[in-house]
Amino acid sequence: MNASAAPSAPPAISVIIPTYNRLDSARRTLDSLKQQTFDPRQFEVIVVSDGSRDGTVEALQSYAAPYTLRVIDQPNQGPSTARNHGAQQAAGRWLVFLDDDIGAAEGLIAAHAAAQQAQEQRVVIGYLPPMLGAQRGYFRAELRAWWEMMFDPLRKPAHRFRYSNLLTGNFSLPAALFQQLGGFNTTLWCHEDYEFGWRLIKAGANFTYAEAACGDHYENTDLDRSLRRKFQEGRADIQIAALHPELLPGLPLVFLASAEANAEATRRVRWLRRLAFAQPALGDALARYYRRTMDYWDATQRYWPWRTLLYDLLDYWYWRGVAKSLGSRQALAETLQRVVQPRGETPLELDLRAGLALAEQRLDAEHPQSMILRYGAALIGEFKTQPGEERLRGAHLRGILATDFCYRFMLALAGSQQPAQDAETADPLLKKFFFEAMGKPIPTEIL
Amino acid sequence: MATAILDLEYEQMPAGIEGLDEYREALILLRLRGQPVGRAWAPVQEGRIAPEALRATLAGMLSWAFWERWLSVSLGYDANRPALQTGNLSATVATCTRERPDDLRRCLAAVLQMPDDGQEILVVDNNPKTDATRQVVASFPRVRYVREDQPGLDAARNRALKEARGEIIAFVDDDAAPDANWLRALLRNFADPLVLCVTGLTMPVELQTEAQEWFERYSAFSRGFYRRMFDWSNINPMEAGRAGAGANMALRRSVLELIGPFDPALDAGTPTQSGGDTEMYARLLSAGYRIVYDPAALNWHRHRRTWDELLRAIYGYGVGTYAFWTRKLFLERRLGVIKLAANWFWRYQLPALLRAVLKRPGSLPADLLWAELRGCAAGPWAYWQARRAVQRWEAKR
Repeated sequence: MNASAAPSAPPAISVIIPTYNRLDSARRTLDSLKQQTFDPRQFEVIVVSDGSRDGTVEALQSYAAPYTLRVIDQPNQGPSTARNHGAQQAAGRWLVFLDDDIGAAEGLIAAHAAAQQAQEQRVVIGYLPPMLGAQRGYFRAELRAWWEMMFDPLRKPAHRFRYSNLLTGNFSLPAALFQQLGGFNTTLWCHEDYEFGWRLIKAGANFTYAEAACGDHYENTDLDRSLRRKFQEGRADIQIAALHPELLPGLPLVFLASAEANAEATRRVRWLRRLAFAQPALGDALARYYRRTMDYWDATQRYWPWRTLLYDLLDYWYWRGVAKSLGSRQALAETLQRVVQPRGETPLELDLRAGLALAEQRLDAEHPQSMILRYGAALIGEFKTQPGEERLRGAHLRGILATDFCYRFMLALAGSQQPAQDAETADPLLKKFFFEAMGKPIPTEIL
Repeated sequence: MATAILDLEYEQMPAGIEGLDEYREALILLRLRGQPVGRAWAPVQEGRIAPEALRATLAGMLSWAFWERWLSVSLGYDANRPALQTGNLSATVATCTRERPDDLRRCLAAVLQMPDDGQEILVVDNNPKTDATRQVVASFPRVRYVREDQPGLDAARNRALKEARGEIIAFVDDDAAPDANWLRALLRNFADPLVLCVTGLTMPVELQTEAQEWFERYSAFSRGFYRRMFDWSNINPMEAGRAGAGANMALRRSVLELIGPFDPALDAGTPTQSGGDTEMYARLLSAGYRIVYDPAALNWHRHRRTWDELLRAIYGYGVGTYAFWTRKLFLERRLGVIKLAANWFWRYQLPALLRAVLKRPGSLPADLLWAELRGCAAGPWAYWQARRAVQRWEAKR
């Protein structure tokens, strides 16, 4: 228990940090929480040691901090159990989950708190800039790009959140929402964050991204660990498909099994994929050989051969995980048969001529999975959310019109009755519209 | 006869344009709410562009870049508007110059026309012979003066990166003038932490002479009206010049630690004459970082007026390109450079020269192409000399 005086009222926020045999790293995370702009009497920190054998529990018992620190020990059961365990003990109204390899920026908790106060039922995803370790060569750059690319789409205005946007390293939600959903699924050892993300989306949580909730992520993985991780992801996706069949159409395994993916793939990866089911030992031996040739391409600065091999191997190890979980091609075929389009909810029909504001209100009221957009008599098109995406909100509409439906919407505005036209017929229409609309924004009745 | 430069706004479009008596042609920049969306040449007849001719030219430059922008503006939605407020990124506008006081005065006047968001303005005086530059800067109280004695544009750029108080350093050439929105447009692209460099659109401020017209056609700075993101998945770092040029670029100051400084053996003021910007882009892309080209970041460049200056500039581009490749081949063992150079020669340079010699329609002047080839041939030796000069300089210091 911490030496500082216990606050009289329960704290607003409980920070939950699972850890396993990484005392120095966990200490760095706790140190960073000492520097918060947020009042240290308003938050508690719960470290859940997942059966660490490096003296984490003993060492942290005497850790002095301006916030209340509780250290919980549990037998080794995985990070999901540790997080659930921490959440059970939490007194705060909101939970902030942090990993033990994160150095929180001083505004991290304040940013989570501000975003949580702004709206009910919020899930706030924070930013995790990668702090790389000893990684070298092309892999170093690739790893950095992988991390940063996870946050790229979140920065776009009115992003449609997906279940895979949830990362357990740095996010917050109301404690009541966490309890209502029963916390993390402890049967998953990988992608438990995605699985929880999907249940949050289904429960209608309001996802948001807060760049200011920033924590440096000290990343020590290397290429071999990334490949092993891909194997785990393949296994996890089979579990997720069983738990949530509606996510199956969007999982990589469905694409990889398609003729389209087969046509795009290199011959090498086509063989490797076959071996993953038929001769896994041979496949693994080949994969290890290719893994070694990557070092050669790295040393001789041949980026493209290196990169092609990397993606072939990631592909193989994912597929190998799928094969390991399913056992046979027969089982794969049965799994793929379950890919059915989600039950057709009736799409919401919207006529934009009645005004964008009205259309946005209806989207906010009805949260449909898909919508049919018209402009007067002209059909613009039907927009469906992808498997794993949140339902449509009013805030999504303008982005969809400006990007996905840019061409069709322009044509409808220009007076075309048909949604899809070739460029030759579209061009004169648009030119006419250009001169008619010159000096004016969009037809005023719809704004 | 010269070419007029017209800067037209879609929402305030005149019917036709008068008063172009000295011009045979016009280069039109089309903007939508201030942002460049297209450009095209229009014929000038009897000193005017008739309404029909203007309409035809405008209709010809309509592209999806225009319609996407038009929709975004109308809907109040900008896909590139970052979630992060870049207002908290501090900026320095830096001009590296040497003995061009008149150009510098015009440049600084334009720099000071931009809205004041608290940016620092810095002039690096490179290896000066006189104190003309210092005097010009003294007449602008907001501008800070720094003197860098190591000769070469890249040495001056490195000095600017070290001296700058801003996190982002936006470089503007002394013969260029930024548009009012230039700095803001550059900055907003830095919300993505992988972006270390942003380049912009450069338009000619005048096309009064034949040399200027050819320069614009031969080596147009314009890279289109789409915002583009470059990383090593879509551009070969050895051809990084496609991502932009030093005449209109901004860098994150952290390039110094992440990538290293500019190569002081490259670019103006050294025997290699150019190539320093491209070499930096190549290293930055090779390290896995990104360059964004954003046409909203517009500046205006005064091209060389005389044919001699033009020939020297084109010769210099040849020298710089080969000097840059020399470094990559011999110091970084990038064998791919050989293939690139061979490809360029057989597929582009040689056929263009043959067409020019045979005076085929649409061909470039032969002396320009010949100057470029001579420059290429001189590049490797120039790089060697420049490196030795840098080593001598560093030993002296």
